[in-house]
Amino acid sequence: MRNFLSLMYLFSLFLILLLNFYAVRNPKKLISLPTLLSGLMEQRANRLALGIIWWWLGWHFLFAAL
Amino acid sequence: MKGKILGLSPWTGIFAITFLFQLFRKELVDAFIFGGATIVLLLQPLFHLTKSAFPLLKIDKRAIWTLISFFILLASFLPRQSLLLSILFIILGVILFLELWGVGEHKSKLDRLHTKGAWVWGTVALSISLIELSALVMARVTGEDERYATISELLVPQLDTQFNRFLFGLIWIFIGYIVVRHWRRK
Repeated sequence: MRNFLSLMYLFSLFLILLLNFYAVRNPKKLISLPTLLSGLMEQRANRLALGIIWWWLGWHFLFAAL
Repeated sequence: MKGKILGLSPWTGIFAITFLFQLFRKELVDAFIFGGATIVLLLQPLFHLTKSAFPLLKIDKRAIWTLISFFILLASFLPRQSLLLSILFIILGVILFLELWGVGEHKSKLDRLHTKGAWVWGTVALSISLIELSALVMARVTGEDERYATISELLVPQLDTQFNRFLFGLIWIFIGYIVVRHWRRK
């Protein structure tokens, strides 16, 4: 099960990279993740939320104990 | 006031659920962080601060990169849960808050392509969250943390070496750069 879950997480990462690659090559069909984030960042609530999530990821993996 | 409350962001609900979930996990620090985030997002429609209400950070690019490199190096060498590292993270959080809060919203509507993109990327994020959540719930129910490994369970032990912490710090800062790079106060 542990290996299966590891594969699922790796597959998710691969899917994100693949989708983003597709979006960069076909900007009229799908917007890339950075472009979407750039649009979202225009609103303060989104800016704060994305900032908090990013900060928490650093805190969780570099500071907090498991 | 009624309109402002009705204009609450969906993020408020997401953070409120995460807060309750962290309480369920008995992760009190994370519960405090997400509880605070919920309150900030709950209150933010009520405040319309102008640019002059917060100091505009005027730091040139060279200084930013020097600070970032310094932060990553320190974070790589400082032990987990050290006081200095927690202070560094809090300072970073305050600077980020000042940078992201200080100006009102632009009122642009999402076009069809952006809406479609939001659905596609949102579905991917939700799917990953569900896999992680399933693993976490199963680990709690069965008591087999190793068998039902979450991303933290897999990643955190790898971050015990300074090189790996440095590498993770670089990737984390790079992701932050991608998120923030397109937005600066005008």
